[in-house]
Amino acid sequence: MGKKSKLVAAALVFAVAAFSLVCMAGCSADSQEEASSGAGTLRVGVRDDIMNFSYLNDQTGKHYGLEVDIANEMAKRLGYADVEFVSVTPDSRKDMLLNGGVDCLVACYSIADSRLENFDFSPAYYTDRAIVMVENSSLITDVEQLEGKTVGIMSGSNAGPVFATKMYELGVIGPDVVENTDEYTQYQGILVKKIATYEELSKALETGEVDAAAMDNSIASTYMNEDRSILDVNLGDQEYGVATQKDSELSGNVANAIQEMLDDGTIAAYIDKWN
Amino acid sequence: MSIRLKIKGVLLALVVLASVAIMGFTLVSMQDDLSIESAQADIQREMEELPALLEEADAETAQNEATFDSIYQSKAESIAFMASHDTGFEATNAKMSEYKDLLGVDNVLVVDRDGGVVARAQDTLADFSYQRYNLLRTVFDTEGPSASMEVEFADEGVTMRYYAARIDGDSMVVIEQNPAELDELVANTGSLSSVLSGVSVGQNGYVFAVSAKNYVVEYHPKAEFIGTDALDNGIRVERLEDGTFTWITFGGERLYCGVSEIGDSYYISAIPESDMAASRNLTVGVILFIFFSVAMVVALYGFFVMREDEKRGYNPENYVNMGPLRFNKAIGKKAIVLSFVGFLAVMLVTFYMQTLFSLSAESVSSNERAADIERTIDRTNAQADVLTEQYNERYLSKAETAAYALEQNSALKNRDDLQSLADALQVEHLYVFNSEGVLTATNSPYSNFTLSEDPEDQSYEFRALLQGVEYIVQEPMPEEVSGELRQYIGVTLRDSQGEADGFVQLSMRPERLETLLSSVQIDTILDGVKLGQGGFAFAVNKSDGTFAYYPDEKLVGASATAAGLDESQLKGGFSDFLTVDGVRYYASSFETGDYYVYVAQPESELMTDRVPLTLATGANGIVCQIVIFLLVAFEIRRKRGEVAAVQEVDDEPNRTFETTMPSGRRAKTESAASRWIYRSMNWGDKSAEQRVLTVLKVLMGIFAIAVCVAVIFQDRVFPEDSVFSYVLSGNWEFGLNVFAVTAALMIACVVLTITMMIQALLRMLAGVFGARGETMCRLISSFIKYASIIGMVYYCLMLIGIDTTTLLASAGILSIAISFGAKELVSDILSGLFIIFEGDFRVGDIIQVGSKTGTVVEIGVRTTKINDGNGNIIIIRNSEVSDVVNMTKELSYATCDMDIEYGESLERVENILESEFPNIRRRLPSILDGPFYKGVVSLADNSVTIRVVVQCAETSRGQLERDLRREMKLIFDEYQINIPYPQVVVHQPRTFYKATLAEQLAADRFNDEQKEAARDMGNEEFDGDDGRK
Repeated sequence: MGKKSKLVAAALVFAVAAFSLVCMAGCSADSQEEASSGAGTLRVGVRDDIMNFSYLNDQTGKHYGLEVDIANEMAKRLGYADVEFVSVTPDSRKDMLLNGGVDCLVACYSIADSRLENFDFSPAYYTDRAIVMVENSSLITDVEQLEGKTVGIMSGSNAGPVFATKMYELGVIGPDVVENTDEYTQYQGILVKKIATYEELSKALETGEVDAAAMDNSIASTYMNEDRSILDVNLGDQEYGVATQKDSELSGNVANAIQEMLDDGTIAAYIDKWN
Repeated sequence: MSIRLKIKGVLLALVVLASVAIMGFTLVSMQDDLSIESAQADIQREMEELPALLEEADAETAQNEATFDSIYQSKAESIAFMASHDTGFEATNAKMSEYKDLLGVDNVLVVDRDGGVVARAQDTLADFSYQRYNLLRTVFDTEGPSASMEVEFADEGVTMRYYAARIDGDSMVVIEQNPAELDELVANTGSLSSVLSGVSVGQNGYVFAVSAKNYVVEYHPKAEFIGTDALDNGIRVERLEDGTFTWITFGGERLYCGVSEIGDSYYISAIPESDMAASRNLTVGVILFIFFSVAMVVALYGFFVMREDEKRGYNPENYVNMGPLRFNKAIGKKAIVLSFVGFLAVMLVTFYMQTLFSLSAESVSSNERAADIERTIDRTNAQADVLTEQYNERYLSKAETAAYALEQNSALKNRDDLQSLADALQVEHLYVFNSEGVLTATNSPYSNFTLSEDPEDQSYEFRALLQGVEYIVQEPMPEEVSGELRQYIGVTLRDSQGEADGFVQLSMRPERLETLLSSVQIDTILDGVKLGQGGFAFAVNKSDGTFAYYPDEKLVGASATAAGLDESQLKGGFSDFLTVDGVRYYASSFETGDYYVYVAQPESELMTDRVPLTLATGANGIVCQIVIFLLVAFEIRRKRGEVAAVQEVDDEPNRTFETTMPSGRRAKTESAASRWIYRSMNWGDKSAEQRVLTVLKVLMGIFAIAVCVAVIFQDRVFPEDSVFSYVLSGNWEFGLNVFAVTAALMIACVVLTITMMIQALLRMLAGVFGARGETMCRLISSFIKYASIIGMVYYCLMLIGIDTTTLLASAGILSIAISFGAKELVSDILSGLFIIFEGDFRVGDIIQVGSKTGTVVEIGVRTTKINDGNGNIIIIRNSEVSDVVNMTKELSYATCDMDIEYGESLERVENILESEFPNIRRRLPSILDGPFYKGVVSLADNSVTIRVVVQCAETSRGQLERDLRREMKLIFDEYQINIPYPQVVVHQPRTFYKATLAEQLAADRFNDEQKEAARDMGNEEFDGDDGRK
């Protein structure tokens, strides 16, 4: 009986999810208008693979984590009746927001100058730092040993440029980009491989395909294990903010709501909760 | 019913309900506090122990890994040794395959400095040119084999471990091995589940682990939860903070939890609420029921008496005025007795329930833990076997490698090369024997040795190798001098023709095995066992009854019986109290190998708290009782006029009346004839006492039925580890203990309920069939009653620990004894029992046994004592109590037979009687009704006998009969009616008076009237007698 009802529930969840996907594709324009009018459902782009920030549970189809809590609270303060979470990837999130697939991004999206050209950002709700992770068996213990090696990043993530900048500052690599494709970026003295997902990045590190991986600390904790180390170097702080369409009506409201949540300690409480 | 009474009734009902509610609340909250307190203490203790446990497991895992790695490192090293010692090594795929088979590894490769594969036994997924494999390249810079590294090829679903050893400056041998065996070992010994599955929090609680990274359940005793999302299962994420105690709902179960964060995991020590509540609900339920019964009985009794008083009028003597209130003495006295007995009952039941539940919880947990330990012992034994086998296999492989190397290059048979070979193989010593069994080369200091020819000697076994046996793996044996475990393994050396040519033998100390074998020792296993608060395990040697392990070192090796254990307690499957060293423990035992293992717990907190709990319940109960008592016994004084308003007693047939008990107390009893009527009495006919009794019976019936239902449907009603199931499972020690008593009570409830139901059915059937059917039904009903009672008693005696088979056997012996002389005694006792069970008569009844009549004073085991009315006590042996006439009835008849001469006119006499009867009635006040003329009893030889009867109380009958005779004589004298007596008559004719017509008519009428009036008076059977029967 219990099993059966669970199955039914799971089927329902899938049906609803499928339906909402279809709906999203079909009537995004309508809902966009509805959302921007400040009522109904707020569609939030979140990650589905970052533990403690936003992680999708396959069984329930629900997202859990700090960013999910922030998004929920923010929507509540903005007066939305409901929040719809849409899974985004670093590759897709930019387009999703630009095309109005989501109203805002709360997706470990760091505030960077290049991004500010396209989007508005709320004040940062979380400060993270980018790090470099290596396998112990590679015997790499210092960032300078990375010269001439292959470093993996998740394609579309901010870690790549940040990493290269830092390497340059440290004098490990030269200033020029030799070659830049969708697959990799060849700097002077280091090859940065772009890998589609963090999971694959982790696999590449495991098999030795990349000698090191650069990513945000929040993400690294998911893939850390006893055979790996984080090199003693801070590539730079990454400030996560809520991204909204440039100069949209939502931008100011979101920024205000986040500031308010920062001021009254709500976000601090959430960070503590998910720590 | 007056409004006044109604109000009082409602008030009483409210007070009773309120009392029950208050009592329930107090009990529940007290129990809750207690259980939470003890749960928290249990959890706290577990949380403190957890880090050490986990560290231990980690150390175990590290050791397992180190052992595993050293084996494969030695394999890599031995290939390197062969490469450097001219044993035909070449970097070809074929040779690598040969090595792979020889060493029993997954893959052997030769890799150059840059990571290029020179030769391989089979393809590899690894790309050694990656930086990832830098660790392996360390062999070029350092001595010895590399550390191990593990790579997971997620896409292929394979995990491989790598070991390297240097061949020369530019190439190394790499061994690739799937670590499945290691993983399994780690899972069995050092994994979370292997650690946490052995942990119990309190008695039934457990620890489960949730990843702090992704909230996936890492371990849970229920395997289906492992791998699921803890948040999905109901845990709120903010509850997961180190050091919090909180209620958590997990998988629909409410748990009282303590959270500790160790490493990347939350460890949640949990005690299920059901565990805490299950005992609570039952305990509280039973206590409340008893309390409710007591309160209700007192309240109802008062109510019934008041109602009766209202109906029948008040007796001012019963009241004492106290200010504006009036105290009802009659109610007060009895209510006090009832309240007091009830109060005692509540206290007793509370204490009993507390004892029962805490003991059963302890017992269940001890039993469970004992079973756990038993499993642990079995598992460690199995593990030791597996490990021994693994050891043999691995070291045999080493010996084979050594043999291979020596066959390839016999020049290695010298001390130095053997030493480096031994180093590569990581064994202590290598010995090379020639075909004569003489030691030719070794790296050990003992170089002069020949295999013994004495079959008793350890080395004799290896002679078989000289005959061409492939290998010999000897069991590890303790060395004579040091006592250390040492193992020898020999493999035959063969010459180029394949003929046996001596053998190579290696010796090593299987340290890991040694530690494991020692961990199978009983003291190691029992050492860590902790249970509840201060619970532990100990073992007693089967053979000599000494302690094999006891937490207190002093007792180890001491005699268990000397320490306080009883001979009968030294067995498996024991479950009861025992005393060790002056301390009482509740213990369960099982038998394993050479030991009896006991899990012992001191009396739990619940047990120590039962006295305050009982007192609190009692205090609460007494306050409620006092309130009810005051309500019942006191009332507001009324105006004078009302008091005397006596109503006439209604004339309904009444089956009860007052009798005087031997003690002088007057008590109500039911008339003899009414006792055997199936039909129950009308509610209205009952006195207040009888009504209360009926209520009590109903309550007890409800209780019995509830227990019966619970027993029958125990599986569905109660969880497996509840006290109900435990008591019924019979896993406790038979004897006079709380479980036996409980079980006996339960059995009694079941048997009584079933008997009651069958009897009710039979009663219904009796109504359907005729007289014969009714007789049969009564017979069957009576048979069932005895069968069930005897069976029940027999079973309960067994539960209480009386050996019933001996009882039966002794019954046989008894019967022989009976035939010798004790027969009378036994039959007296049995008859006594039957009198009591059958209820033929009771104390206070007036009975006639044979010719003896009197009031029953006592029904003893052997004799029945009756008072004959003269103050004489007649003692009748029970076996002789036969032909009993129970004359207990509300009214008796005094009879007077008078003889009249034949010549006297009967009609005249009858007329005289008619006129005189009212006078007799007047003169003899003890006459209740009559006198009645019963007619002519006999026409005797010399006289006509007439009978006059009066209705009276049985107690006044004797005197009344004498008075009646006197009256009759006086009347006869007055009217010159002759009573014939033997006399000599000188015949002198005289004229008799004739009755006038009027007299004749009046006499006829009188006759008819009298017959009519006295028709229902019985007494017919006494015809011809003196009326005393």
